[in-house]
Amino acid sequence: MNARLAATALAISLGACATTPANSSDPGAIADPYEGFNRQMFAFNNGVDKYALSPVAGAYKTVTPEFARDRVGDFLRNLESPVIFVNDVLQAEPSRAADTFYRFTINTTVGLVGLWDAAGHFGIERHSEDFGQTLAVWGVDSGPYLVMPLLGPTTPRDMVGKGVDYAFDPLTWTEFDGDPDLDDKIATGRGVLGGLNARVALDDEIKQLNAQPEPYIALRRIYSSQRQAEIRNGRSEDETELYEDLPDFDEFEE
Amino acid sequence: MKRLISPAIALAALSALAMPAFADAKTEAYVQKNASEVLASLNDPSLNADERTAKFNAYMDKFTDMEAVANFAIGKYARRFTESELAEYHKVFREYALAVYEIQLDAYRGEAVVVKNSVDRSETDSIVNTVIKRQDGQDMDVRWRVLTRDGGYQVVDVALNLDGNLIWLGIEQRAQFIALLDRTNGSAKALIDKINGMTTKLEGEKRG
Repeated sequence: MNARLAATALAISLGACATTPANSSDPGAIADPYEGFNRQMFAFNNGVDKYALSPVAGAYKTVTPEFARDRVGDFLRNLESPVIFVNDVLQAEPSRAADTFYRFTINTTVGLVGLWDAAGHFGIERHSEDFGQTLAVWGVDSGPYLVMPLLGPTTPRDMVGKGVDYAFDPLTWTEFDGDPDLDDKIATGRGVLGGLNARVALDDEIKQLNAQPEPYIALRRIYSSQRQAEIRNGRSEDETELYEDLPDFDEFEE
Repeated sequence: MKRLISPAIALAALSALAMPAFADAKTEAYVQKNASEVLASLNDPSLNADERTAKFNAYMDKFTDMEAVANFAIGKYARRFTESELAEYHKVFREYALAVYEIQLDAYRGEAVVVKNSVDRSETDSIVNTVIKRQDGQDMDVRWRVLTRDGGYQVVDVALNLDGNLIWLGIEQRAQFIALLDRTNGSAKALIDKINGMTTKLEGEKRG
C-alpha cells in the first residue's frame, strides 16, 4: 500500500518537475495550482487542531512535567538517527553523517537509550535530514504546494521523501518474537507521543500563525522558505545574490 | 575555456574595485545609534507602559518611513485605493506596525545592537547586518534595509535570520496583505477591518 502511494506521489512529482522551477529570489514563493483544495484542507486541519489536537495536547502538557516531555522528545529524536544518517550519506555529507553516527552512539549508551541528548552536551549538535531534502540535493524539483489532511503542508517531493524515509527506518522492518503486534503498537505509540510532543512545542508558533492577516499564505511561505533553508543545511546563500533580487521599495509609489 | 575564464575573473575583480563603497560608516552608525535607542526605550525600567509605548513610537517614527512601508505592504493597491481609503489605511497600519514591533522587539529582550558589516544594493539602498545581544545568550542575526532619502536615512524593512532562513518582515507582510486584497476584490475596508482587529488583539498582549 505504501509502495503504491509512493509510486503515485513520485509520478505526480516527476510530472510537476518541468512546470515549477525554483524561485531563488523569493524563497517564500511556491507554485500553488491547487489553492482551492489546499485552503479547504488547511481549514479542515485547523478545525482538527482547534477541537481535537489542541485540547488533547493541553491535557498532555498538564499531566506531564516539562522534564518528562523533554525525555520523550530526546528519545524519539534519537530513534530518527538511522534515517538522518542514511540521508547524510546519500547527500555526500561525510562530516554531518559522522555527527549523526556519533550522536546516535553516545545518546544510545551514555544518554540511556536516547532519553538524554548527551551528545548535545558534548557539542555535537543535532541536525535533521530526510529523503525529501536528499531528492532536492539531487536536483529533483519540489512540485506544487499541497496541504494534506492531518499531515499539513507538503509537496509531492516531500511526500515521496516521507515514504522512502519510512522504508529506511529499521523499526519499520523489526519483528518481535512472541508478540507479532508489538511493532505496530510501538509505531502507534511513537506516532501519538511524537505528535503530542510536537504540538506542545509548537503551541506559540501556531498561535502566532493564527494571528497573521492571512494564515494560509503565511504558512505556505514559511514552509517553502524553511524547507529551502533546510536543504541548504542552514548555510546562507551568497550575500550579494541574496539581496540583489529584493523588490524595489518605491516601485508602486507615484 | 581557460582563456575565457581568466579575462572574466579579471573583469569581475576590476568592476568590484571600481564599485564605490556606498554603505559607509555613516549608514552603519545610523543603525547602531537608532536601533540601540529603540531597544533602550523598551528596557528603561523607569517608564510605565504608556510612557514606554510613547517613547518607542517616537523613536520608530524617526527611524522608519512608516508611510513608505505601508505603501510597500499593499503594492499595486496603493495606487488603486482612493485618497481617503489610503489615509485611513496609513493610520491603521501605523498603529498596527508599531504594536507589532513593540511586542516583538520587547520579547527579544535585546540588550545591545552590534553592527557587523553592510552590503550596498545601490547608491541609496543598503543592508546593514547586525547582531542583537540578548540576556539569555541567544543572540539574533538581524538585518536592516536602509534607504537614503533627501539626504537622510530611513529603515524600510527588517530581516531575521532563522537557521539560514532569512525572513524579511515587510515582504512577508506584503504577501499576506496583497493575498487578502486579491481575495476581496481589492477592498480597502476588508483590509482596514482586518488590521484593526489584529491591533486590538495586540494591544492586549503588551507588557503592563
